[in-house]
Amino acid sequence: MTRRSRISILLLSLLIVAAFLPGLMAGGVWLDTTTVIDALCGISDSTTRFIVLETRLPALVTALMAGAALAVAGLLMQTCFNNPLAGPSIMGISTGASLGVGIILLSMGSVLGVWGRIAMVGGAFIGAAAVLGILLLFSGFVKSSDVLLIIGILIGYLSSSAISLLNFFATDNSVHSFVMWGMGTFAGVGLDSLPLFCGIAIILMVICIPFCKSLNAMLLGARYAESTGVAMQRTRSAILAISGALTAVVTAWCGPIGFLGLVVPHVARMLCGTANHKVLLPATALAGALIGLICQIASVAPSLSTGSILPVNAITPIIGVPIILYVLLNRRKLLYFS
Amino acid sequence: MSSSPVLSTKGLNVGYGHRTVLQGIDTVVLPGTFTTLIGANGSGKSTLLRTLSGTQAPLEGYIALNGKDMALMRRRELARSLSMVFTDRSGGGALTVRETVEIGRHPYTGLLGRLSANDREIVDSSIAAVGMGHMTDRLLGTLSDGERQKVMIARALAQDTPLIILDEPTAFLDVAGRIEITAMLRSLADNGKAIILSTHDVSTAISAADNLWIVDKSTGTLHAADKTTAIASGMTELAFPSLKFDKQTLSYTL
Repeated sequence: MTRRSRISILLLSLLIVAAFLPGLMAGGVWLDTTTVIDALCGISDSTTRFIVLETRLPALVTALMAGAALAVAGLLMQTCFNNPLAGPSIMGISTGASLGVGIILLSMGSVLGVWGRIAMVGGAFIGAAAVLGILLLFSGFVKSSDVLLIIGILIGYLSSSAISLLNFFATDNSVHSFVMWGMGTFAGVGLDSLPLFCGIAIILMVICIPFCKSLNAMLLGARYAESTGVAMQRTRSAILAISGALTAVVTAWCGPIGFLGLVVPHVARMLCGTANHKVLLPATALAGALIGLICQIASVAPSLSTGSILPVNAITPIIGVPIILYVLLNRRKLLYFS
Repeated sequence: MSSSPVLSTKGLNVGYGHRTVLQGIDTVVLPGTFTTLIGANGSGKSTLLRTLSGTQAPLEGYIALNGKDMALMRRRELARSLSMVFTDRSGGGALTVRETVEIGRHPYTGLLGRLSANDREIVDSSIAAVGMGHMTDRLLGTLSDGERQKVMIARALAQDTPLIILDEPTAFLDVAGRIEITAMLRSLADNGKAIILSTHDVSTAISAADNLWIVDKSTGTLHAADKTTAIASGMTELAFPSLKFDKQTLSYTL
C-alpha cells in the first residue's frame, strides 16, 4: 500500500470518528458537547439519553453502514461492468429492490417489527436480484458496457412504472407509508433491528475481501482475467449477487438511496490514486461511511430552525452530481477506466 | 532442456457450433521454439488460439498440455501451463506496473492473493526481463502502447508457464515497437519458453520464427512446418493466395 493510500485511509477513519460528535449534537434540539458526552457516559436525564443513544446514535450508525454498503456495491458493479457510471441506483438495482419492497408494503398494508423488516429485505433482494439477473442475461451477448448501462436504466424505468401501477391500485394508507419510505431516511432502523442490519451489511462486505484478487484481474479485461485462472462467469455472478444483496439490505431499511453507490468509489480512487481493490475496498467502505454520516447530519441540521428534516435523497445528488461531473470531464486524466 | 512437447493436438477441429473453421489440426510445439501463425483476416487464427488456450472448447479432437489432456485440467492448472497476451490496450489504467505483473502470480497465491518472497522475486525478475525495471511504480495508463505490451508480457512471464500464446500483441505498435517486442519474444524462446505468435507483421515475425503455422482459408486447414521447409515448399503462399511470397525479404508482394 502506498503512503498516499495509507494516509487517505487513516484520514477517512479519523473523520468518521470526528463526525459522530456534530452528528449527536445536531437535530431538533441542539445539544452541546458536554451534554452529548454525559449522555454517552450514562450520566444524563432520561430524555437526553433517549435522544442521544436511542435516536441519534442508531441513525448515525445506520448512515455509516448504509453509506459503506452502497459504496462497496457500486465499486463491485463498476469493476464488473467495466463502467465508471455503473451503480446500484443508476442501473435499476435500487428500483428493482423498491419494486420488491413496494409489493410487500402495498400488499400487506403496513409492515411492522423485525419480521416485517425481514419480509421487506426479502422483497428487496428478490427485486434487486431480478434486475441483476436480467442485466447478467444481457451481458452475455451485449458486449458494450455503455449499452448495458442504458439497458439497466430502461429496466429501472419499467420498475418505476410498475411501482406507479401498484400505487394506483393500493390503499391511501399503504401508499403513504411507501412514499415516505421512498424518500430515503437513515432514521428508520430502530435499536431493535440495528444489530441485524449492521450484521448483514458487515458480513456481505467481508465476503468481498477474497474477491479483490479476481476484481484486480478483471481490470485488465475479461480475457486477461480468464487467462490468469478467474472463472469469469461464476465470479461475475457471485460479485453481482453480493452487490445486489448489499443494495437490497440498505434499500429495505433506508429506502432507495441514490448516488452514493455511484459516487463514492470515485472519491476513494481519487483519494488513494489507485484502482487496486485491496486498497480500494476498505477505502471505498470508509469513504461511503463518512459521506453517509455527512448526509445524515445535513438531513437533520435544518430541523433546528424549521422543525422538519430533509429526505436523504434530496442531499445525495447535491454531493454526488459535482463529483460525477468532475470524473466524467476528467475521464482521460484520471486513468481509472483507461 | 526437456524436449517433450509443451503442446500437442490430434485431429483437432475448431469453430463455433455447427461451423467448423479449421479442421484436422495435428501439431506439436516443443519448448524453446518460436512459432509464428500467419493467415488472412477471418481465417480462424483467433478461434484457433482461443481453443488452444482453453477459452473455447474444441469441436473435435484432443489438445494436450505438457502431455496432459487439456479437457481434464482445472482452470488454475491451465493458468500455470500457459499464459496469454492480447491486443487489448484498455483497462487497468490506475494499476502500477508492479501491481499488473503481480496479477500473473494469481494462479499460485491463496484466497487473499498474498505474495510470498518467492512470488515477489519472480515479479521483480519478470519486470526486469522486459526492461521495465525503472518504471515499476508507474501507472499503466501513463505508458506508451509499446511499454504497456512489455508489461503484459512481463505479466505472462510472472505466470511462469512453459508456453506463452500471443494474439496480435503488436497490432497497435509502431515499427520500432513491433521489432523490439518480437526480438524480446525471440530471446524468451532462446531461454526455453515456447512462443506462439499470431501477427500481421509477417516479415518481422517470420524472420524471428523457428516454425510457421500457415492457415489456408480456402480449405480450412492449418499447415505447420519448420521455417526453412515452409518457405522452400511454397507453403507460405497458401496464407494469401492473391500474393506472392518473396523468399529474400520474407514478405508478401503483388
